Amino acid sequence: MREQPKNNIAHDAVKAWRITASIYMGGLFLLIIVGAVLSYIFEITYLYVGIAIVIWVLFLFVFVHLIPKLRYRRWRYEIFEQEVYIQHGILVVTRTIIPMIRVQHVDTEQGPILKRYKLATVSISTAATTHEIPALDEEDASTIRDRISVLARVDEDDV
Amino acid sequence: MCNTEETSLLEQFKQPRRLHPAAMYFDLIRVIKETIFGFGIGLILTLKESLFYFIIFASVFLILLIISSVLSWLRFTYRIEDNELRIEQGIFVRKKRYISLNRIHKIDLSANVVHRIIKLVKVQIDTASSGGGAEVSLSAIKVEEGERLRRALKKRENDFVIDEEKSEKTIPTEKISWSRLFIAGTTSGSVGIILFALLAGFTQIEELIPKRIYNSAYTWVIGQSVVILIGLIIFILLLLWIVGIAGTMIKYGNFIIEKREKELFIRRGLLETKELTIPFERIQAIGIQQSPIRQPMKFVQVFAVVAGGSFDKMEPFPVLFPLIHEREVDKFLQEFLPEFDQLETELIPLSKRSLKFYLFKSSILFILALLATAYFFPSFIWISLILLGLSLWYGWLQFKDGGYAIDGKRFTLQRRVFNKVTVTTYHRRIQSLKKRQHKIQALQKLATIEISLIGLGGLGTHYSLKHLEEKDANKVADWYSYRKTSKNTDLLDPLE
Repeated sequence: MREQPKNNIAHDAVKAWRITASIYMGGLFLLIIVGAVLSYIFEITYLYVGIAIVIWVLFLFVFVHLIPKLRYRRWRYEIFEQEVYIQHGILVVTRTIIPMIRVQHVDTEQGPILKRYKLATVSISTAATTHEIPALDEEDASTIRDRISVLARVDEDDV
Repeated sequence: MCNTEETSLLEQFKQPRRLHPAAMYFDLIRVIKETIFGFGIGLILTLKESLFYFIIFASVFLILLIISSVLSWLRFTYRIEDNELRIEQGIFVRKKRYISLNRIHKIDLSANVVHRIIKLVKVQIDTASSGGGAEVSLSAIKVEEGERLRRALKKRENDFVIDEEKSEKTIPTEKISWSRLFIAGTTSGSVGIILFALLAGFTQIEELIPKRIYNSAYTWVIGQSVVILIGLIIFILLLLWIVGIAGTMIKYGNFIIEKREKELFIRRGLLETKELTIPFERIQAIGIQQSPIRQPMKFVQVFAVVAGGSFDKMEPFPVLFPLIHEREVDKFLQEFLPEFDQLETELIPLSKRSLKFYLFKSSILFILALLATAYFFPSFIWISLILLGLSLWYGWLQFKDGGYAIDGKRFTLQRRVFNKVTVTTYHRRIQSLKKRQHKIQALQKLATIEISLIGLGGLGTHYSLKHLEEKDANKVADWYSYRKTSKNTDLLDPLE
């Protein structure tokens, strides 16, 4: 765990994450509009709505612009014959080793946003944990899934 | 001889049998237990509207319940036929469940207070595949019949059972003495937990108590002298302490652990007898736990991390022995679980640099509290100071107790969150390994490691050791990683 894993995830991940974050921000914006309408009807000062908009803009910058970029930069994975090695986390960097012989099953998943960019998420389950590699190219994801499931077929050995 | 006895045993169960009529009662109680919460809410909601309708509704519901209990008792039968345990049940939808005797993995008999009074047992039958909960549960049958059923179902292992009976004297067994149990109760620390639960509960209940009663009680308390109040508090604490002792006595009374051929067998409980069998191959790790109250007396509790299944949800990891002296642990493990002995080996301690992280984390809340009290209630500042001192001391303990050891395929980790916990496991039991590091840790060349073991219900059990020397974290990772050869050749750490 000295070197970081070699492979980056697909660069379009940033776009996909930005869209997801934008949807949430859109929801928040609707709430602010509701707030503004209520302030108008009940003749409350617009101060609170103003504060909310400032916070919203700040959030927009952090969650839509900054975090997807940083997250992409940190996300790395590498698949060895004996184990899967993953790195993620913006403030707290987490590196995980999952030995192939502990892998129970591998899934790929694709939501509508990931589908638009031809991306898919691979999730690797052991008997105790589930680990995800988000947003890989579709083909990469299925090759990786097949590869892991072949490598994971190794019998319980002398460990 | 053996064979005829066997067949006659199976013959006995050939005809479909019903459970003891008390099963109706248990069924009723079970359903009521499951719905009582909803009813409580219903009661509170409808009480203001009309108590009358609620009572009508509740009684109709109860009558339906009773009818359904009776019918399901009538429909529920079990028998042994063609080497299968056959269960038929269901009022409208008839369900049949056939379980091949070969597949039966575990048969547990248990009895609660009601069972004991009318001399009944509950039989729970599990197959190897089942994840959580018993595959088949016979809620009430006569004790002798339960024993016979167990023997009939276990017939496959008959030869082995006879062997076991022959060598019965040599089966290692360990009981807990009453004096130990008493110590366990007095140091259970349940005072704190109960007090906390009461406080938490009280804030909820407060709203339900009529204002007038609450106010008059409040003024009464305020009106008393300090001496009486302190006396009252001491009295309540004493009472809680006794409740704690009684609770431990009831829970762990008659505790016995037996080592059998392929499993550990535990039976315990003063009022409600519970039994548990733990197959050796399901044991993922062994741990010992020591609460701060027990630390000066050097008493610990031994537990096992088991894949799937314990006594109940409140106790995710079965206790293998409720109270044992530190120096007896090794003997106990050698006898029952030799592959996990020497649990308290020499540990590699944490780096001195990690002390500040522990001190900061344990005391930060209390430092803030100190500032707040200094500003708002300067006269109570001594309380905050004491708490701050305690928290710093605790941080120091957490630092001092953290450590790990690698011995061949064996991995031992010790850490303190509140209690001091030492767990030991094997390479093949660790499902994945994490190394975590934030910016400040990276600057200080420290890292957190976390191992994941199989725990209850597929969720996994995770043990982490915080602020380990980064070099040590990498050592653990190298030990865990399977691609050692490549690492040793091209990724050698220049520091080493």
